[in-house]
Amino acid sequence: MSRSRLVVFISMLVVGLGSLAAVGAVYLDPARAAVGPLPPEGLLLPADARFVAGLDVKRFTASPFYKRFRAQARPEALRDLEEKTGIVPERDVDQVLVAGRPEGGPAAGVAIALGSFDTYKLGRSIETGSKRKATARTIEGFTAYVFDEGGKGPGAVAFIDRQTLVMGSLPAVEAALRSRSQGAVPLKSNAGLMALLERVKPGATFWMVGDQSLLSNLPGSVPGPGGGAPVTLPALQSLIVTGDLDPVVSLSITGDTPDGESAQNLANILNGFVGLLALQAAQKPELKDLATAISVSTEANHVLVSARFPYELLEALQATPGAAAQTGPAPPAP
Amino acid sequence: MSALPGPAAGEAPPRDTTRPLAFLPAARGVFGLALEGMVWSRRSLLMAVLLGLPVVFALLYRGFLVAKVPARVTGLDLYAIIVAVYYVRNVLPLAALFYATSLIADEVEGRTLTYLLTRPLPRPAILAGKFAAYLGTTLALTLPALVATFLLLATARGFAGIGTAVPELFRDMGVVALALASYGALFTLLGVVLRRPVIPGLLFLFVWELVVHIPGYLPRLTLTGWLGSLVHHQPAEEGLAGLFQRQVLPVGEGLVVLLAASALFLALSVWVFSRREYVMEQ
Amino acid sequence: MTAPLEYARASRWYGPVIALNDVSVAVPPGVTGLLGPNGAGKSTFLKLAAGLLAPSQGEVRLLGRPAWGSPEAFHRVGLCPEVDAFWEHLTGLEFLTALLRLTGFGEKECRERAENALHQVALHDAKDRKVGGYSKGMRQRVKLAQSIAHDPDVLLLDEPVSGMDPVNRRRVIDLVKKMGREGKTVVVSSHILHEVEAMTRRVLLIHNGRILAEGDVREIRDLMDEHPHTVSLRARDPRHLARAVVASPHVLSLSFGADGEWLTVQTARPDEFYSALPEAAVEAGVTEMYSPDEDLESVFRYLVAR
Repeated sequence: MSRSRLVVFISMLVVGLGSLAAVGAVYLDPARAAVGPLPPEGLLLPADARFVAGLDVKRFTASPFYKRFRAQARPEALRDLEEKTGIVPERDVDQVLVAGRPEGGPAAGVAIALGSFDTYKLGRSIETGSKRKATARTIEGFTAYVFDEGGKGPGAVAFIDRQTLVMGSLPAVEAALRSRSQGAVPLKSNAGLMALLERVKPGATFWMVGDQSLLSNLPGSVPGPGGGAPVTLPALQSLIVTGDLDPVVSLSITGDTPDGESAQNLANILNGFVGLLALQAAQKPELKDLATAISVSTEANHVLVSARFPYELLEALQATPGAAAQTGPAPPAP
Repeated sequence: MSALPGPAAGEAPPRDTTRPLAFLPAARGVFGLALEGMVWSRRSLLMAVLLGLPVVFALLYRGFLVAKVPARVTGLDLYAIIVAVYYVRNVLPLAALFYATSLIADEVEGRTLTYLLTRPLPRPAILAGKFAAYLGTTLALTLPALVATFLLLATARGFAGIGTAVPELFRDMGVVALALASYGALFTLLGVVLRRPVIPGLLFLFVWELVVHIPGYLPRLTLTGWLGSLVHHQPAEEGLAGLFQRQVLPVGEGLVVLLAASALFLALSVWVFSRREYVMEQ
Repeated sequence: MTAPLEYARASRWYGPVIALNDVSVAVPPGVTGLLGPNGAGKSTFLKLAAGLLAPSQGEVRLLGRPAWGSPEAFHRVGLCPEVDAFWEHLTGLEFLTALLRLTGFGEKECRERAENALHQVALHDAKDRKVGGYSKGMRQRVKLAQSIAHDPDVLLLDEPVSGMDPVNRRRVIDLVKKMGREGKTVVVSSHILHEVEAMTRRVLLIHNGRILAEGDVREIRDLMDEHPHTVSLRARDPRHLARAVVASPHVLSLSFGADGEWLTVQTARPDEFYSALPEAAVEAGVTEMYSPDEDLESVFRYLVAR
């Protein structure tokens, strides 16, 4: 082989090896695989999170629910995001992911927003025009904007790239940026939440998974029917919630109990509450429809609650009693 | 003195001396000869420096990150700028200009064209072999630098996010090859038609190709318009977006136009070269 | 049977300059010398034969087909151009094998033929040196080697021995004569008569783009013999020399140089004059000799004037 052909051959070999390395790097991308409904970027959420929730902002804002109940329905996280950064969630954000610990604390909550962000423009906006004063700081090579949240401790917003921003308490944001710069995926080490996420089919408008700590504030027992002896609520080990808002409000809740008997007990209790709801129909006929829309079942140690509420029903429920009398069905003819 | 030897027993059958060599073997022979002169030349040393400069940029960027200097652009954005602005719009056309205009001119100036013209070679094969050597040389200089730059910048912050970027690398390699082929074909034509093709080539690159910035139909009459449209790096940042081409032409159409233009320019070059007389005086 | 190389009323002009004018000649197998002063049209003649130029008028046929636009002819035709040009980065062997590859030979045969051709021009020892490092004579020889390596039937040699030392010049002349004897058609161009004389007796005289004469070189010699031949000699005792040669019947005139060292003789019979010279030259102490009529320039002027 002549020298020149050798040079060309070596060059092509370098290209080939580099291409293989690039393809191989794809498999090394730790955030490559989405887990259930959680996109790869969500793996930056903290490992000690006890719940993770996600909202498909585009589907949410396009839903009849948002259009009808916008004022009440806009999540706190979106309001916070707009106030701090100037981002218009309805326009710029595709998804919001939230993780946290119900017990709170300094690093309790952190949110990741996915969308399309003009990071330079937004940075300038935050520094100069934000409703809340922010100071820029460099953390792990990323620019973070720190807000004074008063008694809650400092909050921060940082752009990881032009599609991802992280927001939350300063320690939580720092932790996320540190993970990103090291190529780490902390949430992946939370086996419990990972297992729950894998059970959730992607595509829901909103979803949430959490372990038993999510329900730690729930009472251990409820009063028995008719004022009888209190009924002990079986402990839930985990909870999965998914929901859609188009064409109706649909909700699906799956709770894991320690065993089948506990699941059956819980289902019975829930059915009891649904029955009670139905009995309120005399005061508000819509409650009967509401009760009819809810079904409770069990499967091994899982309790499944599903509900489908048409918007008309929700509107009727939302109306005042007087207005309901005016807008309700006409009284029967004498 | 002994007669010159003929083919030994068991070797290839005697040559067909009634026809010129077939196109492919002829082009392959010229390719081998031309490659030797092209790869090991001062021109290639200069081009290697220019084409390899982005690797230095990438290493500097990595250095800034290690020093925790905040970067206003991400690694992938910097890679996009390097591909679309440095390579496709500037360095590759210049490389094509300086190599392709000289394919025949170098042989004429060096007075070695006589040796090629007095072999049983079809003239189209001579030009094809030289063009292939030009492509081989420039790709050998460019692609490793492109791949190295990509790997350095895409992994600047770990492997996160590289999954979506890798297909862009392969697309960019194709665009680089297409840029070298299309500009090379055009400048080959200039080189065989004009006595001094470099100035008209520079005028084409830095005057005519600027019409890509004029809205409307004119960008379709430029090579950079089509090539820029194939390079789909469009960062959301307002500050960077101005570096990139505003009017994006259809990709499928771009591929067809560029390939057809390359073929047309080469065909015209072959036609002119086949009919031209080359007089080399002492 | 047609001649291997034929010109039929072929002309070639570059704008207003006529390089070759209405040439009709058939070059048969064997060695043919193409003689003419610089600018006579020799190179144009050869370039037309090699298909590097197309005739502006008329026809040039090489091995039965038009020379222009017939690359297949180069399987059997070799050209040794006048220009001193190479791919300098190649060694002698690489240069030849590359060109043989372009002639369609296999790898092994390329190498064998290249080595053999380099042997024939006495360059085998330098085969692995870059051509850029060759001397002028070596470069001339490697140029010749590339023209013969593929064993062509027709060989076109443009000033093949230019710049060569006497030993290699002799080698090349012998090679050319051998190829002529083998029945190949060899056209050798030169402006030096005795070089051509050493290779062949058949010559074409070309001047101002026209073929002045074709035939045996002896006839040219006879013409030259009729033309007064001037010889200038520098001697220790020019008067002694003058006394020695003046008696000769073919000496037409004598004159002395201003410095008293030079004697200029005009003779009608240069061969006889040169034969008689050595004894007188030794006695008179001749140190230098030259003849402005040694090349063909003056001969052509004379012939054209006739």
